[in-house]
Order: sequence, then C-alpha cells, then structure tokens
Amino acid sequence: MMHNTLKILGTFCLAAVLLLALGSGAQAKIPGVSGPVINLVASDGHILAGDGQTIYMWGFGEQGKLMQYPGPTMILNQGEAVTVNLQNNLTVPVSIIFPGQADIVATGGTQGLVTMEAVPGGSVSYSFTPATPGTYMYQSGTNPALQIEMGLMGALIVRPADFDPVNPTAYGAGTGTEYDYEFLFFNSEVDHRIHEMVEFGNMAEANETPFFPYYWFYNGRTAPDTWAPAGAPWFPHQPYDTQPRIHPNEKMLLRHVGGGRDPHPFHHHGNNSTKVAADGKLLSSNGTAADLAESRFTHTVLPGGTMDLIFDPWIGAELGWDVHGHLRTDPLATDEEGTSYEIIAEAGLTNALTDTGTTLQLDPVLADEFPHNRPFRAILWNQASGSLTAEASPEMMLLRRKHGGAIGEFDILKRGTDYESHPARSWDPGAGAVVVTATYHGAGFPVLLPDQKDLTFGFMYSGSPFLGAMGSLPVGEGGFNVNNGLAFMFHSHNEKEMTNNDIFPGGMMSMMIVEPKGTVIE
Amino acid sequence: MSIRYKTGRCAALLLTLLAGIVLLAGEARALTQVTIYAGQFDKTMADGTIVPMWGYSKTAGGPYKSPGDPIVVPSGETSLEITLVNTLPEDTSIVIPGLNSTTMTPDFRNGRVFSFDAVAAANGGSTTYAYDVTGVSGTFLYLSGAHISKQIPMGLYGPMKKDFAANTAYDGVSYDRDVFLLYSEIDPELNQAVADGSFGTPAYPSSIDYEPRYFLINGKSFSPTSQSTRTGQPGEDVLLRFLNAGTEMHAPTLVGRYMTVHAMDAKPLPYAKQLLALELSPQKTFDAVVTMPNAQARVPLMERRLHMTNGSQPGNGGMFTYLSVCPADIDGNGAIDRNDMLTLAQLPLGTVCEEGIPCIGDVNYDGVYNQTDLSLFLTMMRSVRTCQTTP
Repeated sequence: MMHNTLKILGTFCLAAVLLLALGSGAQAKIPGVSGPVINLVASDGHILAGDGQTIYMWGFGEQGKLMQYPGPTMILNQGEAVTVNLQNNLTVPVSIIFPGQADIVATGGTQGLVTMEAVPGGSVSYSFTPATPGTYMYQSGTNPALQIEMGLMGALIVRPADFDPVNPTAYGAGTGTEYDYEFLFFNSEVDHRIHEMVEFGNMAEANETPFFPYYWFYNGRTAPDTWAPAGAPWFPHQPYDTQPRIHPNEKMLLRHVGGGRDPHPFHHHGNNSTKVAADGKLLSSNGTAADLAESRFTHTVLPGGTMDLIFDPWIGAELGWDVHGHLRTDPLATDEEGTSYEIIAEAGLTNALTDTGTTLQLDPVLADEFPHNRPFRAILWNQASGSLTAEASPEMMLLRRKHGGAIGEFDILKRGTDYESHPARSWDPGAGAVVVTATYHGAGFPVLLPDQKDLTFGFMYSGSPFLGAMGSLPVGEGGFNVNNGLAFMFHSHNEKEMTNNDIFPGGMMSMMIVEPKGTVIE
Repeated sequence: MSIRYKTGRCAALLLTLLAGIVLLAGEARALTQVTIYAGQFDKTMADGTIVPMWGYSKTAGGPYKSPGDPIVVPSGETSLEITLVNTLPEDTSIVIPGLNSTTMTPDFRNGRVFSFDAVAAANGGSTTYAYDVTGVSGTFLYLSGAHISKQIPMGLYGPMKKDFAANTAYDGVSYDRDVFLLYSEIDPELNQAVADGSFGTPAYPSSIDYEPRYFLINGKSFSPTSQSTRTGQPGEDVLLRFLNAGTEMHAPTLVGRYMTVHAMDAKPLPYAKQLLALELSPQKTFDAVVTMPNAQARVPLMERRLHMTNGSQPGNGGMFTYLSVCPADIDGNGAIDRNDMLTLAQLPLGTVCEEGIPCIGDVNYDGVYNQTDLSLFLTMMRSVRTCQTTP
C-alpha cells in the first residue's frame, strides 16, 4: 500500500519536476484574442490528460493556429462592436452562441437549431456589441449536447468602459470589484468514451445520454498539468495554465466559467472569497455596487453560468506564528505598495488593567474589528513609545471576546509567564494612550519541527514554514517552489473531480501561491 | 359558474364547485375542490419506444397523462381539497411540498415510511387531502408521496399554481401570461420492471440503477417535428414557472437573453436575480419572468446539463424547446380567427423572413411565408381555433 502510494507520488513528482521548475513562466495575465474582428476556425485535435490518455476533441482555434481547448478567450471592451468570423473545418455543421450578449446579428451560413451555422467547409459571421462588463462564455449552438461535450466552447471577458490596466476593476469604478491580478478558471469535464465514438466515425453511437465523466479540467488541462506553463509546447492544443499567484495583501479576481455540463463547487484554501457577480451580473440591489456579494470558502459554478470571485487579500493573519519569522522589534512587513498588513485590528484600552487583571476593555466601535469567536494574540504598548516595535516593555496576551459581555470586553486567557514570557504589568489608559494591537507579529513558531527523518514532504514545501525562506530538505526533495512562497490548494470539492480516470491526484486542482514581496508576477 | 360560501374561522371550507382540473393558461375557473384519478397508460417516446407509465386524469377512466393537468387555485382561496381516486395496482397518495396539509398522516409499513400521507388504496380506493392555502402563492409540484423512488419515476406528478392576485404571482411580481415548464425524466427499464412485476425482485431490486434515457418538458421531448411551447405575444412579460419532477438537476437557459428570477420554491426572493442558467434541482420550482421579443420570433430554451437527447438517437432531442409567440394568432387575441386571416390575406406569398427570425405568417417556422403556411393556418383556424399546442 505505502509502496504503491510512494510510487504514484514519485511518478507524479517526476512529471511535475519537468513542469514546475518552470514555475516562474506562469502567466498572470489572462491570454486571449481581442476585437474588432476575431477569426476562428472550428477543427479537431487531441488533448492530453494527466494519466497519459489522449482524448479526441473538437474545438475553436485562432485562424492560422491550432485548435485549442478551451477555445481562445475573447477579451472585449464594453461598447465596442466586434465581429466573430467562424470557418468550419469539421465534417459537421457548427455555430456559436454568446450567452449574456444581446442583439447578435448572424450573417452567412444556414439556419440551425438556435442560430445561423456554418456547414462543413463553410463559414458564418456573428456581430454584436457587448453592452455590459463581466465574465461570459461562448459555445456551439449546433447539436449542443454533443458539441459542447466535444469541446466547442471558450470564455469571453468584457472589460468595463472605464477599464484602467493599472487599477483594474471587473465591473467599473465604484462597483467594489477592484483587483490586482485576474485568473481564468474554465471548468469542464469529459466522458472520453463519447469522444472515442466520434473519433472512429461511429456517430450513431456518439450519444450524450449515458454521459459519465472520467476527466475534469481547469482551463483545458487536468492536474498536474494545470501548473505547467501557459503555451507549453508539449500541450499544443491546451495553451492555458491555472497558476494563481499573488503577493501578500493583494486581491485576485477569479473568473469562473461553467463550461461543461456539471456544477462544480470551487473550494479554495487560505481565505474566503467574495462572489461579486454571477452570469455577468453584479450581485447588487441597486445595480451600482456589489452590495449583495457573498463571502464563502466554496462557491459553486453552474453549467452555462459564470461567477466572479474576489479572493480576500492573504495576510497570513492567524496562522499562529509570524509567517515572516520576525522578532517583535523588527519592522512590520509591507506589501508591494508599501502598506503594512500584519495588523488584524487595533484599538485603545479603556479600562485600567492591573498585572493580575483578567478582562480588557477596548473602544467599543473599533473592538468590532477584532476576531469574534476565537482566541487571538494581541500586543499591548504605550503610544508614547512610538510603535509596538519600539515599545520597551510590551505585553503579549491571548485574548478572546467575552461571551455575554459588554461590547468591547475581552477575556485575557493568557498573559505574562504563561504567554511568551513577558512579565505582566499594569497598564494605565490615562497616562498616554495604551494601544491593543491584534497581530502575530513577532510570535514565534509554536512547535519544535521534528527531525527530517521523521517527516514526509509535500512537494511544495520549501523546507521552512516562513514566507520567502528556504530550509534544508533531504536530497531529492523540493525544487518546485522556486520563490519559497506558501501554497494553497484551489480545487473542486467534488473530490472525485480531482482524479484522472480514477488516479489521484488529477482533475480540477491547482495551487495558489502567495509569493514573497518582490517576486515578479507578470 | 361558481358559488362560494364564505365561512368564518373554519379551517376547511366547503365550496360548491365544478369538479375538474383547469386547463392551461387563460381558462382558470375558481376551484378549491379537485378530483384526480390515477391510472396506467402507455407513452410513445420520440424514438418510437413504448414505455408503461402511471399518470393522472381529470376524468374517471382516463385518459391518464404524465405530467398530470395543472391544478389552479384561485388567488384569495384559503383551502384546497384534493380527492385522489386510484386505479393503479399499488397504493398511492399525493403530497405537495411547500403546502400545509392539515390532515397529514404518514403510512408506515414494515417499520418504514411507505407514504408521507394517507394512501388511496389500489384498484379503486380513494382518499381526500386537505391543504390550508391561506396567504399562499406560487408554483408547486403535486406528486406521489408513496414509494416515491418508484412512483415518481413512473410519472405521478403535475404542476400547481396559486396567484397573489390576477396576473400577479407574488406581491409586486406581475405578468401578462404564464406557462408551466415541468421537467421530467423516464427510465424505460424501471418502468418496464414495474409493469411486468419484476421491480423489487432480484431481477430488478430497486431504483438504485435508475438511469434516465428520456428527458421531457411538459411531457414532450424535442424532435424535428416538435411544436414550440407557445408562451406569449411580442413584447409581453411572460412568467416561466419551472418545476423539476426528475432526479437530476437541470439547468434551463434561454438563448439570447437573461431570465429575471423572482422566486424559488414559491418563496419570493428579496431581490430579483438576472440569471443565464438556473439550478433547477429535483423537486424545486422557480418563477422567472422574460420579456418576449418584439418580432414574432421564438426564444430557444436549452437545458445546460445537456439532457437534450432522445434515448440513444444522435441529434437534438430531450429537454429543448422554443418559447414562441403564437405565429398563427397574428393579432394576439389568443384566438386564430377571421381577423388573423384577413391580415394574412394581405401578405404576399413567398415572403422570406429575416435570417434567423420567423416572420408574420411563417406558421411552421421554415423561414418563409408560403402556401404551406396558409394551408396550415386555415386548418388551425377551422379546427384548433386557439394557440394551444396540441396535447
């Protein structure tokens, strides 16, 4: 059992080493094609799954380039007309519909089920003007049960009219949809048996009715290939990767598209994300700001639907130790823009506290920002000293909001020699303001790391639990985390969807990496 | 004609009414007492397969259908009584999720629940259910509450509605026209096992291997000869009442426009949502409004879980339909009549419609108004006379 597991992991790591060592080639921008004219060709090709399977697909590709899965991401601008010309190199008719877009004028082609379609060898054109920003998709409107399964679909992004690449938003200024980086998650799944029927010309038996998926994809690839570089030449028909990366205190926009036919519960570790829009519409009561946004750690994307998630900025707030390995007297960490982010909340002490006191009273308004239902670490310091790093006799405490107490009242669970061994002292809120800062700045690593020979190593471990730091690893381990960031798995929580034809790991899985400040993310 | 006796605080109102089930849109009568007959029938699927089914009828002796005819409870009523008469070879019952049954009596057999409510005994038994519908409005499913893993797939379900007021589904949600869109599935193997008595034997122990092969909206799957689902006139706000009597989630999605969802499970949402794809889970209902296009066109309604197939046949089928304005009812008064004919007489035969948009007179949606359309129109005017799609 153990041997087999190690063997699988070994093979997996061997495959990954070819891929992840190139991790710095990850693409943060969403690659795609833009208007006013987009020329697509529908044709066929094979894609690769992580277990070595090749799967026959139909797909859209840019004219002059190979067919791809998913099709080229269209990146359009609100209010700017676009024409999509489709040339059909398949042996069946094909067409495109654009869910969420209105007033599409189709020219050429013949009348199909839901729109004009291109006959084999023929062509058709679609013209429209995207009226509202958001995340959308396009897909075949011909024999959709088969053609969507075969891969004829892609993502479509509309930038707001006031889009500024330096300060980007998903839905425009004032909508609450600002972000630092954006990433596409095109969700799909495949029953390769249907594709085999099509590949061998057995169209009478190529039937979606008994659909049962064996492969699941983010952006057209199964894990572990999701984190191979974008445009990797050994994936000629799968040019997109899934490698979300941020620095601390930055926001990510995750554009999810429900491409296949099944819903997928997208689960990310590390933080909640806020769903600000679904199906290209802001979750809003008034149409101007995303006031009905939902904060969760799992959001489900529906087939034919989309969702826009803004991942809460990661600050390593409550891991339990200072993730930067700081001493208290070290300066606070700052993000790429110079903003410090280690402080969870801060408020003034309002009660006189003796060295044996067991409750704290904070300013009631600011106290609401402190964690609500769990113990947390706080530093007490005198404002006269200048800062919590300059304070000569601080106290570190473990606090918890008092149940049934007044607003702003906290129980002191641990202090003094019980907690980080600073002597307990008295604090007088009158003589110079006393500040209580919730932070893990300066908190030591809480356990002694076992000896290397007693550990098993995750493939993303840098050897150190501190952001940006490398530790010693046994020979043969490591090398995949070139910037020594912290990795969080982003995946479908239908656990079965994290397999490739019964082999774990696979399917809808990727890693989000929080990279240390200064790492280049394009 | 209906005579209503208004009583005081009595929970069960007795009303003198015409018995029967109300027809589709536009012909509601004020009913709170309804008799439903359950019986067996055979259904021919789009690929020619004949499947044994269980269904409902408004008349004794049938014909039975699945889904059953809609139950329409007039707005303002406080009580609903359903008398179920059962000609099936198994005990059955009716439950309506979301409604308060004032007489609910679960039926336990062999230590397990056989039926959520009292049964009408097999082969001729009957029972009456009473619901308190005071202040209730919305779209509901009525379905068998007995041995549901078998009886619901056999076809025992139908739609129900009660409005807040005339042409108003909920307070603040008004519409010009409404239509039921009941999604269902059929597994011919399960139905055959029930019909030949092998269901529950080692040959077919239970519905554990349920695998639907047919997918239907309002009891019809799509095929090249399908009629559109007549929905409304150009420019009208149509309320789409989605229901799912199957065991798979289905994702209705319109091509070319959003749906404005106002309610789920007969509960109005605090804010209407504009959605492309709905998560129509089993036993769920949705109320969504869509404005019909201004031209005489049809709006494709796809099912994005891709259950748009008929058995093992290649090509389009299953849960696909066109929501159409009624092409033959040119003046939109709900009847195909002489006024429409006079309008049609002024159109030149051979008019080709704008690409992709069916035009006035193009009754059969083939892209041109020609003699075929005229003949079809005349047939409809003489025999059908309304825009109702054939049953």
